Amino acid sequence: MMDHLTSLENRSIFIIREAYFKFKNIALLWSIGKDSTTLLWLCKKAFFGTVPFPVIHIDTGYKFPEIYKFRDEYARKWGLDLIVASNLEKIGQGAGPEKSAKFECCNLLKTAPLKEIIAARGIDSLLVGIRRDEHGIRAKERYFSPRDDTFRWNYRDQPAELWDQYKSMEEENHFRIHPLLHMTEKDIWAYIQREDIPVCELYFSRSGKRYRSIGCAPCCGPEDSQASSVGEIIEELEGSRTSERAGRSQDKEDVYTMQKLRALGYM
Amino acid sequence: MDTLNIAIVGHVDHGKSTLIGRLLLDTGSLPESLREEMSGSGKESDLAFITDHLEEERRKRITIDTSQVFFQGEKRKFVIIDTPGHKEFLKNTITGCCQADAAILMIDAAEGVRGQTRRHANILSLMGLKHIVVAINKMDLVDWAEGAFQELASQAERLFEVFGMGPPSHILPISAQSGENITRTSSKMSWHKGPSLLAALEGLELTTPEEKELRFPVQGVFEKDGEKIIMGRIESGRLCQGKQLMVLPARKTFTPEKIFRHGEKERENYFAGECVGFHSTGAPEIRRGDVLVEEEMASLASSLRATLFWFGERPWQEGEKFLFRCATQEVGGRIAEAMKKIDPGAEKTVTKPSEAYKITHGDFAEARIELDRQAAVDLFAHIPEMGRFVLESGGLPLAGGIVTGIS
Ligand SMILES: Nc1nc2c(ncn2[C@@H]2O[C@H](COP(=O)(O)OP(=O)(O)O)[C@@H](O)[C@H]2O)c(=O)[nH]1
Ligand SMILES: [Mg+2]
Repeated sequence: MMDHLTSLENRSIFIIREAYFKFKNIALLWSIGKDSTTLLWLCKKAFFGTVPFPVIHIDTGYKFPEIYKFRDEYARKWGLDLIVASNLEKIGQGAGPEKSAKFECCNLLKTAPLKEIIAARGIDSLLVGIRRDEHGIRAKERYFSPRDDTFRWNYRDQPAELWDQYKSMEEENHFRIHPLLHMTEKDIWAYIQREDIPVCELYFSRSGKRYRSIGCAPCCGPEDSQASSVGEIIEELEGSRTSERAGRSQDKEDVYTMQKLRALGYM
Repeated sequence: MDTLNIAIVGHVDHGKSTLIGRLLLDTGSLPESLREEMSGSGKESDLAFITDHLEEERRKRITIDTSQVFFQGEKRKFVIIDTPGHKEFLKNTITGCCQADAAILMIDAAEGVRGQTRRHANILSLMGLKHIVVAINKMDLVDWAEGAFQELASQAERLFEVFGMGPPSHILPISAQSGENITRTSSKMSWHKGPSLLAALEGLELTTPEEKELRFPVQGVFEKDGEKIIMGRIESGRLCQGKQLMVLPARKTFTPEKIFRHGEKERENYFAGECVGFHSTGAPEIRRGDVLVEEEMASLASSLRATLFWFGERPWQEGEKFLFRCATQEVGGRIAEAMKKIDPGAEKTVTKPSEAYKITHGDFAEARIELDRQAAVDLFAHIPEMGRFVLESGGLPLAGGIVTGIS
């Protein structure tokens, strides 16, 4: 019998390869967080040490300095074809979480530049590191999820997914591919530990606090924690019942914000 | 600690989503944020909201799409798959069932076996699920009475007989809403001598399927540093270093130079479920959709018998062409003949050919499928991974099927 993590890994690699061979122009969305970094790692494994497609980072201009440092270091080390996309115009005009509702800010600074880069590069499929256990809405996602021209996620009518037969043919704007859907937060950390995957230092405790989820500095709050290694994080999670997105402010505005954001093409 | 993927199925409103909420709540697996959120939505007591997360689902108090939640029991990890009970969302129910090793069939004690109870039981049976627990829910509505339970239990047993399934692993009385006999046995039903639902789930014994012949469908050919690597996942059997393989459907033989996984030491054997690769040196031309086997043991066929279940919104049009997808194979084909049509919801079987041809949403059918070329398929009963397929048209999956005969 295959152990738990190995079986999760094989499932992810299978999906990554299916996407690669089914689409012409695939790319990976790298937030520099632990999940998309794990996804990147799995892609390297799937293609025998290389990532044979572009890796996109949506830069809102509000990321933590540690995120930029980590991104540039590993983009170089892993020989990534890194594309940094941002809504420079809006950032220049001072768009940001202080100015507008979080919902609008995410839409302006994340979804808009993503739309632009997808159109500019003719990307037909996007690997995204979301997981079912992150949020009730994500629990309903498919592995291959079609998005139309307006990037809408038609959650009312998702294609059937049977026995690893994923939809890919219809004239859609692009597909979101979710190879980590079946992993939990604990699985991710256990896999990071087993594989010794580097992760951004923000996840580890500094002066009694650490980030459980990282993104834009103004919208992510650290939690009280003494965990300063992957092993300690795993131990901490064993005893925890708060959600990892608890520090995320966009989830708090309205119960359905996540659904609305996702429907509009948010990751 | 193993993982049990378990789907909850059954008729609309029989309590599937409520049961999931109850299981999470009573095992202390409900994240704080969900509790907050439930109180935020003003419906703290609504356990179904844990999986019914879409705004539309909550407003209409129904489940539209399948979802999965995770929790850890004492002996194993659980992935609980909620599914919608409405027939109109059948494709979502099937999507959920496909990812399960076991299932709970919910039956409302006051309503008994209904249309979707039957349809779902039929789907589970077709998919070959061995472990099915029948939960007779809402026992509070029948005053926790043993007599009512016995009556429903025998209804369920008859249902399993009709579909030619083995008996259910357990038939248990519960109340999802009030939490009776979920994580502990209930004093309200002291006549029940069996386990609580959770204890039953913890105790299901998953058997490792016996090793079958090698089936290695090729996912694709990848070029790295000017060299070609053939990639795929072993669906059954084992791939051994130095053994001769045959490429189907071309029937050409070769011996791969060495089989490997990235970042691992080479091994002598690789097993079902593993994603591996090998260099193409010395191999005949290999493409995505080819299937590698050991010797000439695979059944190549262009005509096969199958049981179909139709979840497409539009009915089958006689003579129409499909894309037949089985593992990584994609071959054109058509339904040459429909011998029998079953509507399990209405308890109706039609064998008259004129009627049988009207296969429509929610129907099961026995049919003969003709493919444009030979494909490597097996009987579902022998190698499930190579004996199940999807029929697609215009990129849209319309039906699933399992192979029951090869000619
Ligand atoms: N009386 C009673 N009602 C229940 C019980 N379990 C669920 N219900 C109710 O049955 C209705 C349908 O439940 P739901 O979980 O949405 O059913 P589903 O369609 O199978 O998911 C809701 O109003 C529940 O509160 C139970 O044990 N007893
Ligand atoms: Mg429901």
